[in-house]
Amino acid sequence: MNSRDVFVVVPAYNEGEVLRDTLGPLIAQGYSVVVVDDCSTDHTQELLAGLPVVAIRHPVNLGQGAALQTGMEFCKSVGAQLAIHFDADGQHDYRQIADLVAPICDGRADIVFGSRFLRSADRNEVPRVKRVALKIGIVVSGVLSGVWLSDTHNGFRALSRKALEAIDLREAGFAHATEILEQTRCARLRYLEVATTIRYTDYSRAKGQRLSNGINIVLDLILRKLSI
Amino acid sequence: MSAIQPLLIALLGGLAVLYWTRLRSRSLDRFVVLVIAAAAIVLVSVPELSTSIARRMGVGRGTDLVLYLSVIGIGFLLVLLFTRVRQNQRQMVIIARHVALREAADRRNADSHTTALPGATTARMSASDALGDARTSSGSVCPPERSP
Repeated sequence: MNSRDVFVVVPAYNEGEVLRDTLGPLIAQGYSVVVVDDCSTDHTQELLAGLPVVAIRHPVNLGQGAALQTGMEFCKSVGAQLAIHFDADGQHDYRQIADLVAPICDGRADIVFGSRFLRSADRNEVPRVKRVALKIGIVVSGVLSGVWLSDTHNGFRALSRKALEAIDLREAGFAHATEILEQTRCARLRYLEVATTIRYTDYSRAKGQRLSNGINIVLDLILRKLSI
Repeated sequence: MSAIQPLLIALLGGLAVLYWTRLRSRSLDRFVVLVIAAAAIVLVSVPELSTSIARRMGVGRGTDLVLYLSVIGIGFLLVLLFTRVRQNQRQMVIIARHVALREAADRRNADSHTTALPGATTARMSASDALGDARTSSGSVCPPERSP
């Protein structure tokens, strides 16, 4: 596979501190990197101007779900057949993109989700509080979307063209992680989970989701169910 | 007439006038607001009326009945408002995305004249250049060998 045909969508909001380190290996691998700058207020914009990536900047801050969808719209518009969701904070390992893409290339899946809970070694990396929060998220997502994964709030995913056409994230915030599962089920996409690692750094820990935000996500999802 | 009554009536009347003049809503909404304001003014001027209605419905005092109804009414209004907010947010997302994608496309077009090969890290990649591949080789994205 030509790595240029793999479009790596990186939603970024004020990740200027680590963005270069995250993008560097992706660029070196020759992937088509699409960074959606969600109206960052740090030096993200200047940083992107000097990199060989496609930089798309939201005129206002819209949220991660919206940023991913913008990236995917771009991918669709240029005829991409394969897209990757990749977090900007450097918690994913670019070497695992090949693992994520493989089931799609083999025709076994339309959409592939990374999971940190499939291997015990990866699982043990997850801080305890985080693990509990994630488990709750898994249950809520499972109940609301009808798709039960081992790690619903993992931002590392691979999407085939078919999945790109089917997924249309309307949840601008973080509730998109559940929404994507819901749409996976509705569009009858074939999905798979692949073991991936998450690198917890002090940076990502500090930037990560706060627990209180989880409540907002659940509220968003319930409102969504009521179609409000 | 107690002192509170003219005050309440004035406020209710003011609210109705404000709604009527400032908000360009549908005539049905205007009508509903007008009816509610009129009913409220009547209830304020003749408090005994609300009490007798309340008694008939099994509620002790007229003010209690009004309280229950208004809490529910406010609840409805909140839901309506919330729906509108989310609708607006969705529209904003669509507009902002459109702007972002168009700006990116414009920039790519402007850059495409002055671009070196996409592999060069110093030069900005011309996206149309790099992306041309995907378009032309769309049928063969996943050939058997798959090491990047």
